[in-house]
Amino acid sequence: MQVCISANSEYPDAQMDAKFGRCQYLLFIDTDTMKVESFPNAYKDAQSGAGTQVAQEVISRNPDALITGHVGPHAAELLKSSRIPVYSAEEVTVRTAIDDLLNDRLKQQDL
Amino acid sequence: MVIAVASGKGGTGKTTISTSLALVTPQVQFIDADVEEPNAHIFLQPDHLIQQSAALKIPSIDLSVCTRCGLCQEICEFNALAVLPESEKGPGNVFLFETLCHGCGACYHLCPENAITERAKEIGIVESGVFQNLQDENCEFIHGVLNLNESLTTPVIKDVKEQIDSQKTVIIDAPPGTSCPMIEAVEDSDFCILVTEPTPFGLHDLDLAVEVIRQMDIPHGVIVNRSQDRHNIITDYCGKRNIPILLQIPYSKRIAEGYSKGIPLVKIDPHYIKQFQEVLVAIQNQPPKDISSALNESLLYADPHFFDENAQ
Repeated sequence: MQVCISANSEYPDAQMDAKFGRCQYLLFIDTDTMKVESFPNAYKDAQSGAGTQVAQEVISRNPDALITGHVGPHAAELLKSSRIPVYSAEEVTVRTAIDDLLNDRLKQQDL
Repeated sequence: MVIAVASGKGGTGKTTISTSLALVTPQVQFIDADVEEPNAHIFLQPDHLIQQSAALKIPSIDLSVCTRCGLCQEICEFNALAVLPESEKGPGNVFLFETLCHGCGACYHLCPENAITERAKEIGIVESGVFQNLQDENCEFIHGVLNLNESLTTPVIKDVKEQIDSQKTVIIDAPPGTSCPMIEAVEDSDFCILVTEPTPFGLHDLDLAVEVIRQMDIPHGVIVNRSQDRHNIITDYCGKRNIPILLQIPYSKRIAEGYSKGIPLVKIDPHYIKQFQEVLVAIQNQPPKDISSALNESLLYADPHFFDENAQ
């Protein structure tokens, strides 16, 4: 499956970034091949509306799931309408978070 | 002539100064531009108030015409738009986040399909009325009131300032601080009075305000409120930078008590009528170079013996 996760650096030593709209990087991981595409967050220093743009970027790549910490109200509205499930995790390593997701240890966020 | 009354630090006495100055000015028009917390009406007591809506023009997108090209989202400086493209999941959508929209109109102008129209979103009101100055003239009073929960003050301030009558002497009570609302309020003024108090915060924030006013190229002078010594950190600062001190108002419990009852300074103590008239004349007779040499020497204050007796 394709999983998107907010991260503080590029894989492989990345940690999940609890901020969604102002995360440092967005990682898109194919859990079958463990291939990673990473994108620095162009909106992390935006004066306003960072979440709206990051959410739109995520949705346009159509992952099967998103793992992140806190999602602001505007991003939440967009993600909710996209029906992409959003999972909560602590600021563990990306590997750990993915492993937790695949083993049903992550809680889905009620946006 | 348009005279703005601003400050860096809040609570220094802008409304005290602006309302008393207005009361002694013939043919005056008073503008309270502090739309987040207007308070000048308490002192000037205008009546016959007429309300007008102050609205922001925000986009309305016709999804049946929209092709989800995403240009509006790309162009939006404030990230207020998000376009979800058409996919196997559905027809896509366009989201407008109203609280982020500044009403700039870029999306409306640039949509290649003309799918965007503008609709008015009320964010506040502008009220105008009539008050009496000390010459018993009927004078125009205008203020703006930003709606609760709104954060965009500048469009309401713009609407308020649209009522400016350039035939009159206009006094603008500006919002505190040195950011967008203050700049919007003092922009295009002919003179700016900076009100401060002789405290470290008062000085620090006066310096910020002076920097802004100088960048805007607006002639300016300082009024020191709640002064306790004739020479203080403010007079030092102004002396070094050649900024005229137009007036010093001594710290007075009586003035504070009168203020708390909504009484303008010139009515609490009519000695100030002459002081404010002289301030008005000094401003009208600029250029500031002349004020500087004339007034910095004299340092006007209401009671010539105040600083000798150090009375309260």
